[in-house]
Amino acid sequence: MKSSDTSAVHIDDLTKVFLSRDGRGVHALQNIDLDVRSGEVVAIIGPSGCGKSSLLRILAGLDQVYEGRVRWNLAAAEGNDKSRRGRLTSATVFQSDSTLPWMTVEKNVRIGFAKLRLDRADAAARVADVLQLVGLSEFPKAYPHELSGGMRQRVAIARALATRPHLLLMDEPLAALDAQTRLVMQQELIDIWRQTHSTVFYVTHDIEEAVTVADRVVVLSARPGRVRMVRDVETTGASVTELRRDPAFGDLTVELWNTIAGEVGGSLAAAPNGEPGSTKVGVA
Amino acid sequence: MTGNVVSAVATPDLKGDLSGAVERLRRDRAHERRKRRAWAIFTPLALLLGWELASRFGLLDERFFPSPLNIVSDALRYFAEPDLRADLLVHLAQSGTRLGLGFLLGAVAGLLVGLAIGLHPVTRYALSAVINGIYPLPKLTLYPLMIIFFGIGNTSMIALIALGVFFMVAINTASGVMYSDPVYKDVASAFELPRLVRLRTITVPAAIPSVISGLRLGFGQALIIVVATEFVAGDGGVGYLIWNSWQILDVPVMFLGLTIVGLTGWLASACISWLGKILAPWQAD
Repeated sequence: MKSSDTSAVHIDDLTKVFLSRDGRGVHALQNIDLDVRSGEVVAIIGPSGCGKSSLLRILAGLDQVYEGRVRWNLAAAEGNDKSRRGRLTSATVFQSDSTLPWMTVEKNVRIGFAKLRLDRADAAARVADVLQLVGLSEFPKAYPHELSGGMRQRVAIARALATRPHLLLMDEPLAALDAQTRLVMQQELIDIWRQTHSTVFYVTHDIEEAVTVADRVVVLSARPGRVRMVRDVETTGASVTELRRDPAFGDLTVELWNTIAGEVGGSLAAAPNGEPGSTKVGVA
Repeated sequence: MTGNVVSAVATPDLKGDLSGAVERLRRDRAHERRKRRAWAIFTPLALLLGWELASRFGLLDERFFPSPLNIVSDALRYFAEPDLRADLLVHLAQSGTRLGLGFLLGAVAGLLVGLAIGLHPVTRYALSAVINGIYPLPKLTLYPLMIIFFGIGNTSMIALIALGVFFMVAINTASGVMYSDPVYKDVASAFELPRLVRLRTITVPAAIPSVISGLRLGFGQALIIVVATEFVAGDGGVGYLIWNSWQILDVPVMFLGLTIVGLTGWLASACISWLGKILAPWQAD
């Protein structure tokens, strides 16, 4: 995917501490410096508990208590004032099912427009567009409980896309789906982003998924999360299945795994309440 | 990691007709349903029959346990004879007014206060000690207090019913607002919904299942309180009818009263379930 040199959002020396239930300070993220360029897909991976989701929640505006700065470059967005007004700064696709069960598919998408004050025609056109994009054109009146898990996640993706966000935030969006659906959805996401020229911040724990979808992979260290490695990914435009045939895909996956494995091993060893008898991951 | 293809077919042929198997499964399911219904009818009938026989043959004292058929024929007088019918209707109207008004007042107040508690932390801090202090008290113990406030009569009874309903609805509404799936709140925040849109489209709908169960529990309370206060107040109503007919040993009328109370509870529960299905159709029960 083509990314420009202009920054979409710049994360500047960000540190996050939160209080645990028993009142101890927990250091989640430390001195994160990261630049997301307009039009690129950045995947964040790291051992569990490394603060990837905390970082995403900060960008999503769900968490507003942190040290450091998040600088949005909204002026970089193309288009005139009017089209800029019709966009959210960020929109999020969550890991768990985030469709609202009391609304139809169409209303679930429209709820994202609440702040944008779109005129009627624009709103209707956007709904039609995104439902087409995620393959749900035939189900605007369906309720989420009538859809499969994969389809519900498509609704959530459609809702986020419809707000034309400057930054599309995805928090392990495919983690709750079965392996086959996941592969299909990875391909669809890549195709969709290409069509919508989205800037994407993609949190995942799946290394292969990160390599598959991203232009750049950021590896966070074990808690407190720091930027351990930033790795560009050559995008070839091959399909997600073809990509797996590429030796470079395997090499990169292994390289990233080796980077993370050290962190995972470290965090397991440090975990005070690891299950007895659980196998420790070998440190590479 | 290579392997030979052991066997591969483009698409396996569809062999045979499955309609026989489907038909059999359908029959089994229908059979099970019939069995369930048959037992649901059989057990109560058997109990009634046992009772009928036991009082006919003198195993039960007829003065206290008249046979079901006698009760029915006695109760029918209350529908057939104009005097008795008017009397019954007055009792029904009295209890109905108390129950209806008390429930309505308590439910509306509970809904509003529950929402405020759920949405506004300071309200929650301010009220939680008071609510947690009063809630565990059996509401009937407050009846004398209500009489002091509102005097003997309808007002104090309605106030006590409203109070009982209020706590159930308020507590359930508040917990519906606070403990519904946190992802709904995340959606509201992530898409920057304006406050009122958020309340109308996310907070309230998410709390509906919990509000419904609050209404159900509240109605149970209301029914207990209306009957019990009528026992004590001696001022008419179905509760009075039950208590009075027991005192003058007009036992069939007591059973008539019991049946009315039971049917009311059952009917209200069905209505509330129906309301839940209409307002929260996504909830599988």
